Amino acid sequence: MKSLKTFFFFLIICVVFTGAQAQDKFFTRNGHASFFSKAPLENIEAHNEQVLSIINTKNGEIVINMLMKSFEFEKSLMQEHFNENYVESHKYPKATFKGKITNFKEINFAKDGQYSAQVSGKMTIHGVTRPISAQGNIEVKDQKINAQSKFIIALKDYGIQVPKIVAQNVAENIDIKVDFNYVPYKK
Amino acid sequence: MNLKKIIWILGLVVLIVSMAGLSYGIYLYNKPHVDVANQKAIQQLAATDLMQIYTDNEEEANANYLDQIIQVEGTVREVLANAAEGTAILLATQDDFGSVSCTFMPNQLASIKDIKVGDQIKLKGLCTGMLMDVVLVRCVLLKN
Repeated sequence: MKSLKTFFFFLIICVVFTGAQAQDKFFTRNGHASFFSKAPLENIEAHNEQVLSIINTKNGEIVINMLMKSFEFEKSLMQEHFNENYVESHKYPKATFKGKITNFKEINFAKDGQYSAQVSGKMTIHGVTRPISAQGNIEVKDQKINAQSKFIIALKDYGIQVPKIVAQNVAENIDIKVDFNYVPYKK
Repeated sequence: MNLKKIIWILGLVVLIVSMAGLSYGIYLYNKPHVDVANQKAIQQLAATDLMQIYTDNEEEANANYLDQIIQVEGTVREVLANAAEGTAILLATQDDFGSVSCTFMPNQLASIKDIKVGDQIKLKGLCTGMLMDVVLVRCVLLKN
């Protein structure tokens, strides 16, 4: 009887530990990234619903990876210009971010709640890598993590040239929005 | 008299050319997206084969499939609700983790709402490359 008890105790410990280990990493493969360009002649927005991201709650590391061709526009001409002329997605098919939640110690990923997050790291778009910092919100609920952020990037920082003739159509600074629903990463 | 006639004709030509230019411009501006539903796929293959081709040589696979409509058949591994709207369906591959990830045209949402894990489905979509999954967008569900 006692040995059975010990056995169950052992089993529970095992489950708890493996459980805890599995919960260090959270990921999403259908994260949402969108951008918005507000210019005098027209507003342009595009959405990507297949963004990949992994977050390590132990050290606050975040990796984001997306395919430029997965951005969908209302007008196919805009999409064509975006891919062929601006981000040159045939040459640079992916955009990536690698960084850290700098205040991750203030976030209790094991406890439901809303937290504010400071993120900084390096972002690569159009083959150009630059440091970037942004503010975001993190909501922990039922062992899932929702992370949202809004920030602005300047096209010229990433070597993206907008021809003068469409200067009235495309903004120099683009609003970026991300919305990720992370789930525990199990393999 | 003759000069007047020439000017008239010239004026008319300029008008016609600029009208044509303008309408071509409007056409281009409103050019429709690739019509996945009514265009033929360049190739039909199983989700497992597509993943294998991508894992073997991503660059070569991109050269063949990027921006192309491909028809893929496979078993549903997961159905995910997207953050904004819509659904992503993952088709199982031999890889434990990498799937073929498919997002659908808005007009497909009704026909995919009953799809469950384990279902065998066939679809076509535009290939946009590979991250962890091989990604297809603007998918259209096909009858089995």
